[in-house]
Amino acid sequence: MATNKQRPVMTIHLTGSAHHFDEDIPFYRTITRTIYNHEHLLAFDWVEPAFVRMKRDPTDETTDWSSILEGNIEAIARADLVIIEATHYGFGQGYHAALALQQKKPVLLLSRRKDIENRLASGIRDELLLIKTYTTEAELEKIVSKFLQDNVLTNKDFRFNFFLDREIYNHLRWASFKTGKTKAEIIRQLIEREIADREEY
Amino acid sequence: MLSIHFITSRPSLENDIAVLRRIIEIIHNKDHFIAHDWIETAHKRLVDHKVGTDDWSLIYKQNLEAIARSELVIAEATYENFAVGYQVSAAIQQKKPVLILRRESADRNAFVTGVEDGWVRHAQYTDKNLAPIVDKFLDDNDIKVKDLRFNFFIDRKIHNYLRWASFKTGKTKAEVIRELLKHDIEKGEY
Repeated sequence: MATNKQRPVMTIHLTGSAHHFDEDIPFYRTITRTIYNHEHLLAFDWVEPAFVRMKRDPTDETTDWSSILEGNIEAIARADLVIIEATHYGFGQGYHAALALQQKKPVLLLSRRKDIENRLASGIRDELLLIKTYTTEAELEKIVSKFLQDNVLTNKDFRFNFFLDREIYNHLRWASFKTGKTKAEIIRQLIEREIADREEY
Repeated sequence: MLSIHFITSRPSLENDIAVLRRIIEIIHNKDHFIAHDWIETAHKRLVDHKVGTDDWSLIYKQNLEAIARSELVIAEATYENFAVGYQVSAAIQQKKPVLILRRESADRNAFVTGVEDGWVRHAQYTDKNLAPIVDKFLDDNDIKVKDLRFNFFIDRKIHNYLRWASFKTGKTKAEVIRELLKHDIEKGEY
């Protein structure tokens, strides 16, 4: 495990199919372990609870798919990176991939089936998407580690553009003049104060 | 005349081509058209060569472009797979009304059933009720009978002008903008 105290902790969303847990669980655990070994966090810790549920009742037909989808949508929004185990090439994995790429999140799409190269996923042209096939847990760990390292958030600032109307602009100009701070510093302070005040965050 | 993007999976192409043709026929019977006419080519390729395509980049591009230019999207998702999920997600993000069709016999404990959005309608169909379901979706979303919401940013200068024009003419700001657009359309360059 390579640790670096300067490296920020990232939030990773791991998603995949829960329909084939018996064969998939070792691989999900490998991905989870690799994420933790790199000192990052899971956005949505669903794998083990879902595994317990499936073990208890393999014929469970009461799954609340709306809540599961809602949880995934929220997790993708919070995540810095998204990892999708897509060996079973399911609807949910495709749905999440489109959603994550739309939100400009780097996505690692994993499959144990080589025929993913002969499917629509292989045609997605997006520089944020990386498709990798694997066969063993060791191979999987290497792929996930490299993805995490390649996409680690640096401490560099991000550029952020947004619209503001004349009223806000005039206020910022006034506040900047009054405080001697730049307009960007004033906005950053406002956001930091909001973060500090938000108990639910 | 509406432009409809039609999504389905490879298993549906292999097993249910008659149903897919029926859906397309229903669309044509309502004087609407398919944004990207891919079903017959893909089916022939599967029957003749047992492969989907040699060029998935092109297929991806064609489908995403078809979603962008279509007014409605219909997905036959009895066999839910990655490609169907990806395209349904892309269509919802683009605020296109989506009809997700699944055979009544399809597994009800499926991820697709959790897709809930104001733009999405789910329907379980049989051979008997397929036509009324598709017809109703098309009718309910026919632009002839339904206005489209359009949001956009305006700056203070435009806002002040619209407020003034609204006061002067007794029309709403929306009516003022619609009239401007109609005049522009009438100029004949369109």
